[in-house]
Order: sequence, then structure tokens, then C-alpha cells
Amino acid sequence: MLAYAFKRFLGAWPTLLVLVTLAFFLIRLAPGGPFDTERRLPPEVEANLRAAYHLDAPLHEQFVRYLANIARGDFGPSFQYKDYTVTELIAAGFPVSLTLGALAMLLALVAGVGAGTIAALRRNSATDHLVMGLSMTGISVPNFVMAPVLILVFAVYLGWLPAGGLGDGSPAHLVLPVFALALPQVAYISRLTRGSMIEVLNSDFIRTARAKGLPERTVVLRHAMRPALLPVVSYLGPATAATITGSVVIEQIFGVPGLGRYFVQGALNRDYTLVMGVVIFYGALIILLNLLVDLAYALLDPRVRHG
Amino acid sequence: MKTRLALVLAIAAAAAAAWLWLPPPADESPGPGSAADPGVFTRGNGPEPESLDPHLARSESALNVLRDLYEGLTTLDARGRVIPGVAESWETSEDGLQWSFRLRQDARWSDGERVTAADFAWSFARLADPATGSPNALLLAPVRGVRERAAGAGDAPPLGVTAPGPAELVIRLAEPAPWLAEALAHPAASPVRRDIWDEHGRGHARPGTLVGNGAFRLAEWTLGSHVLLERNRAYWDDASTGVDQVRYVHLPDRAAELSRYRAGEMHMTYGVPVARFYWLEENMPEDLRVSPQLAVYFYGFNTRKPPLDDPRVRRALALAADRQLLTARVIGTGEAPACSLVPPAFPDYPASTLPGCREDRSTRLAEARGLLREAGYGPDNPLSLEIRYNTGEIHDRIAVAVGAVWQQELGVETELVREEFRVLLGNVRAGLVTEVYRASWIADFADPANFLQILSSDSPFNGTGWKDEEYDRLLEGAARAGDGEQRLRLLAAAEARMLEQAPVMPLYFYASKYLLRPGVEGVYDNPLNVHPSRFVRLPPDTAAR
Repeated sequence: MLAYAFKRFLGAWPTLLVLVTLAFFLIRLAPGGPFDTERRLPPEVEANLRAAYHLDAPLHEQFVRYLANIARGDFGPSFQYKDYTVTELIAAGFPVSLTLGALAMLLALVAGVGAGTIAALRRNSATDHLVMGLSMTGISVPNFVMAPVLILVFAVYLGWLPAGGLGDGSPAHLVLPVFALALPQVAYISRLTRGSMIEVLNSDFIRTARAKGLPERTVVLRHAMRPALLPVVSYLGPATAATITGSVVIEQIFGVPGLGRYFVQGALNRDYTLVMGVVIFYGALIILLNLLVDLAYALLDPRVRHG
Repeated sequence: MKTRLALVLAIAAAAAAAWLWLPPPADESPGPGSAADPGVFTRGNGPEPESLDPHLARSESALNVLRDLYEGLTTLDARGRVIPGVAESWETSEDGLQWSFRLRQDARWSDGERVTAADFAWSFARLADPATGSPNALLLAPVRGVRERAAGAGDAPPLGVTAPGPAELVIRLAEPAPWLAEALAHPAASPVRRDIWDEHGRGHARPGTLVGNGAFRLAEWTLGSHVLLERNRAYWDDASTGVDQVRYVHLPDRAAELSRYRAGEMHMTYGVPVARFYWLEENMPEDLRVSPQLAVYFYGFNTRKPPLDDPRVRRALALAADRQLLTARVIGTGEAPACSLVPPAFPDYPASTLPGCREDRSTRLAEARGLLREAGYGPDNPLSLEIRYNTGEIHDRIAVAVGAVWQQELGVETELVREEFRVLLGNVRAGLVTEVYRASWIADFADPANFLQILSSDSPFNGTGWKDEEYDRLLEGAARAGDGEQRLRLLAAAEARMLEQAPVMPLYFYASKYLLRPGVEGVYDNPLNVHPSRFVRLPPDTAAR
């Protein structure tokens, strides 16, 4: 198991290097540069800025310099947010995104697996249709529609919850963004769970378990649940990485100071260092979480463990 | 058994959901800094400021915060008019080339140190130094030595800013600048503390390190959320500051801002969503504030290559655009049609207009067709053009409306090219593929020259490639003409010359639009759209929730 984890860990580095290389050159391919603004800088000022950020050096030199810097954990200064370095921006935004994302994934997992299992057990009943109908709605109504509706109802009309921001950090501020973030995931996870649960419940070993006269509860929880969760677990890796690095839509609408908006704004501002920083950070997270997913697989599925 | 399991799972799911759904216990005693405190003025402030270093900031949102954190030699009052700031008085020499400022004895930095003339001398040098990388390096261009310094000349003459005493500052100019007092009120002309900069460098403009000299000091800056300012007790006029704290909420999304405002979480918004304007007029007329702003929206023509190197073609296109339709129907949120580059906000300025622009539609179109025919375009040889503009609700609609008129009335084959903002800017700058492009100018300070200088031959903002000696000569003449009627006449002559050549076609003048909670005092509509927080008064019943 340990050797397996170590092998996977080593295998992650080339992937990361490819990612860094692609991101570095792609963002520089985009037309327009970080200093192209509506109010153009005086030429000498711009030349100085380019020199200060080493943009005047040949591209391959810039790349080598960048690799050397990130090896030391230095993502460089942000082009746009002039008072901060990229590392500081990520360090400020990630805890917020992590809190929101982790709560949302937890909610999605509990509610999604619960609802999916119930639907599978009551296949084709009214409950099943209701759960699946709701989850279809959850998948098809986009965040940018759902979030303003939630705000309108719960903050503007009912006045129960704050309309946005993190305020003094009270849990009340988290409710709406967490809910809006979790909703599509609940929907997706419940559909995944239902599908795989139905398949497992029809398999031979479940029939054997039932034939042995095991109570239905034991059959579902001990025998069916573990294999039924496999597709959910493989979905969780990338989904968690995406959720805990923040959603630009949710952050903009709720005014939450997370990491998500940097993906879009960094690219729009041609903030090369910021884009690189968040891409590498996100990439590393996906690699890490996929590794965890594979380890979880081994725990859930004996065939992986012993094979 | 099946039922029991389902029940357990359902209860677990419901409990998890309920935990998140339940309203939290109401907090009866809001802590300091929460928006419920009656002494906190909460205002929307658009996108995140890129910096709180006065020399590096450029965006409106950053400048708003900086006006509260710093004070220049001059500053702006609640109506956007220039008033004495750190300088209590000043004199100008007869030739207008030497300005002597007397600084207040009681001007203090937020850490209690005295604000001295040497602070300003160092700060103006830092502003012009290309190593600083300031977008406003040329704000004080007429000051002796600034242009040479900003151009990186090694043999730059010494900067014309000297401090004979702690309370005396002398500025020597290379050319007269009657608008100097206005320019000095710009946040980029604020003093920055040399010792703090030396000690902290890039991190000098953050909570804990930033030392300012304005009515407020920086208490908190949560990126992506808000900036919190506290009353600066050391400020010389602290007694007249009306609120204890200012909370700038950063929300780029105007619809989200409106929700926050409607939920009672803000006193004032940064803007309003265009799509909701009619709804707001109908439902919140007492909150909605609309007033003319010193800013112009225009299309630029790339005059470097055919067909737009021909002034007749440019004039024809400019004449045909239906500005009334644009402002009244296409946008319809308080904007005014623009037949000139300089907004009609300067009573003494003898305004010029694009020739024929104010005629009725059929006359304008007839003249435009005539001009195009003269230039050799007609049904057998149709003109074809691209309009490039950046993504944005308004920009789309305007491009469609302008293109439609050109196409239908002049027979110009018009293609609309929508580009991401930086791509558009890059293309305008290169001047290779652009033909017609969207642009705008928001005044740095209230003077016609601030609008006209953008089209001078050496202006970095001139994306048209239009260079006109006569125009440059008139602008230079105006700069030398001192502060009087003659100066404004020369500026107007320059504008008339430019409009005749039509390197740009002005479309409309902006309107500033925001929501203000009824009862909040000290916020006045003004053409610069500046609202310093120190003049704001919050009556007790207007506390934001």
C-alpha cells in the first residue's frame, strides 16, 4: 500500500511539469499583455515595469527563471494586485474556499448518498421520481440563476440571512453560499448513487446474502453500500478539488473572498504570475485528491487491495 | 427493515440539511466594525482595488479609497470642487511658472508625525520616476524635470519641487499649468511616507503598515471582500469628520450589489445594473441618483491606413451615428448625446461641436452620403468596415446600433468584431488590424485640457495614429496662455480643429448612477463622481443592517 502511494507520488511530478510548461506558454500566447490598459503607460514607465518583471528577457530564460523560483516556493509578485505576492493571494483566499467547499462537499455527500440510496431502494416509486426530479432540476439550473434566487428569497424578502460577504465570519454568512455550492453536487451524487446502487442490488452476491437470510439493513449497509459507492468516490476526487478551490460564480454573487475569481480575473488581466500560481495550485490539488481517491478505492474494494 | 434504513438515511440527510438551513440565533449586539454600527458608513465600491499605493493605483475603486486615506496639497469637497488640503494657501508668480504653497502646521500623518514639504518633494519625485511604474507618472508633466525624469533621461534637470522649510513648498513649472491646483487634488499627488516605503517596500500599503494623512486610516483589507477604514484621530480636521468607520464593499457584480443594498446591508452603491434601471426608476426613485459625469464614450478611427485615413470618410461616419437614439433608446440610463469630446460642464469654455452633428437626421445623412461619394464610395464601390469593441452589455448594443445605421443609411458593409478587453487594447495599440474601435475617457480632473490632451501626437492614449501639427500647436499655445479666456479659446479652437478632422467620433457623455439611502447626508452629485467619506453624516435611523 505504502509502496503504491509512493509510486503514485513520484508519477505526479512529470504531470505537474507538463502542466506548468503548458500554462506558462499558453498564457503568453494570449494577445494583449499585463500592461495593456485603456490608459496606456508612458513608454519609459512600461519599459521599466517589463524589466522589473523580467518580461524583457527571452522567453526560455523567463521559463527557467520561473521554474527556479517555484522550486523555492516563490510564485512571484502579482501583476495586478501590486501590494501582494501570488503566494499571499493564494494563502488569503484558500482557507475561505476550503471552508466553503469542504462544507458543501460534506453536505453534498450526506444528502446525495442518502437521497440516492432511498431512491434506489424505492425504485420507480413516487419517492424515487421526486428525488430524481429534484436532482434533475439541481443539475440543470445553473449556479448563477440559483444563487440570486436564494439571495432574493432568504435575504431580501425574508431577511433571515445576510445577502453576502463573510461579515464577522459568523456561520449565518456561510449558509447561502454553501447551499448554492452544494446543490448541483447533491444532484449529481444522488444520481450516481442511485444508478450504481440499483446495479449492485441486482448482483449475485447480494442475492446470496439475501438467500442466507441476512437482515435487509445488513445487506444494504454492509454488502451493497461499499461497492455502490465506488463511482461516487472516483467522482469525489476532481469534484472536491474543483469545489475547494472556489467557484468564481458563487464568489462574485455572494462577495466571498475565496480563490475562485483569480482563475478568471487573472486570465483577463493577463496577470501571468497569478494565473500560473492558481493553475499549479489547482493541478497539485487534483493530483493529490486523485491519489487519495485511489487509496480509498483500495479500502472499499478488496479486489484492488489484493490484486 | 427496508423502511427503517430508508428512514434513518432520510433523517440523517434532513438533519444535515436542517443544520445548514436553520437561521442562526440573532446577534443582538453587533461587534465593532459590523455594518450595524451607526457610525459605520457602508458603501459599495466595485471591483477590488489593485493597490492602495497612491502612486500605483489607477482604478476608480482604488482612487475612492485613497481619497479617504490620503490628502494632497489640495483636495476635493463633497461637490468635487478643489479646496485647500495640506496646503492652507498658495500663490502663483505672474508668469504662472512658480507656485508657492504654505502647508498647515497641524497636518499630521496617521502615526502622529508632522506632514512636511519634504514629504511632498520626495513623493512627487517618486511619482515621476519610471522605476516606480506609476500609471500617473505624467500627472504633473508641466513641473520642471518631470517629463525628462519619466522618460528615463540620465541628464534630467533637477525636479522643480523644493522645500525651503517644513511648511513651505515651491513648485517650478517648465510651462504654465493653470489646472495645477485641480491636478494636485488627484490621489496620485498624495504624499507617501519615505521611511515606511524604505522599510516595507512593496508591502507598505497594507493594514498595519500603511501610514496616510487623510481623514481615515486603514484598519482592514480582506481581499475580495472589503476594506475597512477608521477615523484618523491625528487628522487636522478630525473634528468635522462625520463617521467613525467606512466599509468599502468590493463586489464587481452590480446585480449582487443591488441585492446587498436591498437587504439593507449598504448605504450607498457603486453603480446600478443597467438591466434594472427602469425597475429602479419605478420602484426606488428616492434612492436612485443620476447625474452627468465628466466622461465621454467614443469610437476611434485608425487613421494610419485606408479607408479611414480620409477625413471625409471619418466625418461621414461620425455624422451618420444617431446619438439621440443611442442615449434615449439603446441605453436610456441618463446619458447625454455627445457632439464634442469635452463635456458641456465648463460654463466659460466656448464649446465646439462636430460640424453638422446637431442637424436633423435627414440633413445629417444627406451630408454623410455626400462626403462618402466625394471620397469615392458608393453603391458600385461600397465601403466595408470592422467595428471592434470589448465584451460588455452596453458595448454590444451600441455597436449593433451604430453598425445598423451605417449599413442601412450609408450602405457601408459593417462587421462587428467583439474582443476580450486586453485583446482589443493590444490591437488598438498595434494599429494593424483595427479600423473602428470603442474607447472612453474619464477625466482625471475637471478641465477641458484633460480631455483634449489624449489626442495630441505624443499622447500614449492616442490610439488613432492621428498626428496634427496645428492641433498640437494650439494645445501648446493654450498651455502657455495662462489662466484666462485666451487659454479656453485656444483649447476650443483645438477641439474644433480635431472635430473637423474627426479622428474620433464622440457618442455620449456618461451619467454617474448609484443608489443612496434616503436620509444619508453629505453625498452630492458631482461631475467627477467623487464622494469623500469625511463629509458623510448618518442619521441614526439609516444604519445599514
